[in-house]
Amino acid sequence: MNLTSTQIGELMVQFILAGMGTLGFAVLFACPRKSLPFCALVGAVGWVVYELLIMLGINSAAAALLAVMPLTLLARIFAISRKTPVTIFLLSGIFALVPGAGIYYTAYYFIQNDNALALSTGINTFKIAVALAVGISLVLSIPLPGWKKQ
Amino acid sequence: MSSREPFPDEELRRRIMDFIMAAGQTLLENGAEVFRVQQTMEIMAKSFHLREFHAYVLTNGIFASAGTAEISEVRNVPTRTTHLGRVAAVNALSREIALRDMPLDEAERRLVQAQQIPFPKDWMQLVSGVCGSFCFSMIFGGSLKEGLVASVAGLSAIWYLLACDRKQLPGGFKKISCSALITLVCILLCNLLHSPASHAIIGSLMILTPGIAFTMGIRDFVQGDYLSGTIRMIDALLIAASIAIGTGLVLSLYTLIMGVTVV
Repeated sequence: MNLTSTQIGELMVQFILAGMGTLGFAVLFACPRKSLPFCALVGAVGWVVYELLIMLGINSAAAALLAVMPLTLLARIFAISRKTPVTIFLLSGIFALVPGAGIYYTAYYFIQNDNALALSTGINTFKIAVALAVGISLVLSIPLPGWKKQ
Repeated sequence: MSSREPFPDEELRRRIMDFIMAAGQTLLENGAEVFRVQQTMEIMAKSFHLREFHAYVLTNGIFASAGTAEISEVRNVPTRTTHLGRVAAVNALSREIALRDMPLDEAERRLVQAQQIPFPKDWMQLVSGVCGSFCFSMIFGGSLKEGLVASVAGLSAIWYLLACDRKQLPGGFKKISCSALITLVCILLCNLLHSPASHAIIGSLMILTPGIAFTMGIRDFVQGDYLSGTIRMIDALLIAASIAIGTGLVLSLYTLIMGVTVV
């Protein structure tokens, strides 16, 4: 864990950008106005953890798994404290991590007739998707105080 | 007399049932997960003393009966939009019904209010689309130029989607043509600015990506609603395929016409 100051600066920029991007999507999904900043925070935290892990040299699927855990936990904490369904925070927060780029590149290489690359990107995308699924389900099934009232 | 009687008569039972079904339908239509719909309906039935209430909820339909099958209703929910504000409103309503002695009239009024929460205004959607695609193309590693191109593409994509919604075009066509539009705008503008196009394309494609269907599919699986989860996952796959078709079409046409491969 030795990050240079440029890397930390980079992470902070990413934090703000991810928060703003998530905010944009939260508005598109018509989230309640009062929960918008919390949605942005959830998205920003998830993305920064992901980016940090990538910087530390962890592969993208493992990073997605480890990043989606604090994200889901934060979403659940907000859901309980703000008495709002967890869906609202989870849906908008996870958007940055959903492998949109992977889907795009898979299709792109497929069209370019670069079958080997298309296949490896496709498998990688699938791995990230599974990692996200496992991460979400793990954290969602942890019993938390106030769990029954949700 | 309060409508929260411990033993509602037949007329009242029908009204309660209608109310509960309408609440469930509102939740399902606006993007709540199956588990929440079922749970909310059951809590409401319990609060209004509707006995023997059983509901079976799928991603696109609700089946429910009450009072040893004296009343049974089926609701088909073919269209799904995402309006999380309405989900939150109905959720808050059910919480309040459970907590205090709210009469049925008031609950019905509140439900209608929740159903009528408007979508964000058009300009608001356009601004957030621009903001979203700019930020996402930047965090995926794009340069400032690409970010700007992505925001233009995001703007045109949201504008196009709004126009499609007004004309009520089918979803598949909408997604394919919108992703083609995004790719076209990105390639042309990036050529003009002499920058690679891929990050701009990815950033603005985020508007279309099946993030919702995917996440909801997982949530359904986690709760044990395997059928609904499968429906959502197929939905996500189809959306991804539509995006790939639209993007791929433009990319290969461009390569064909210009004889250059786009990066």
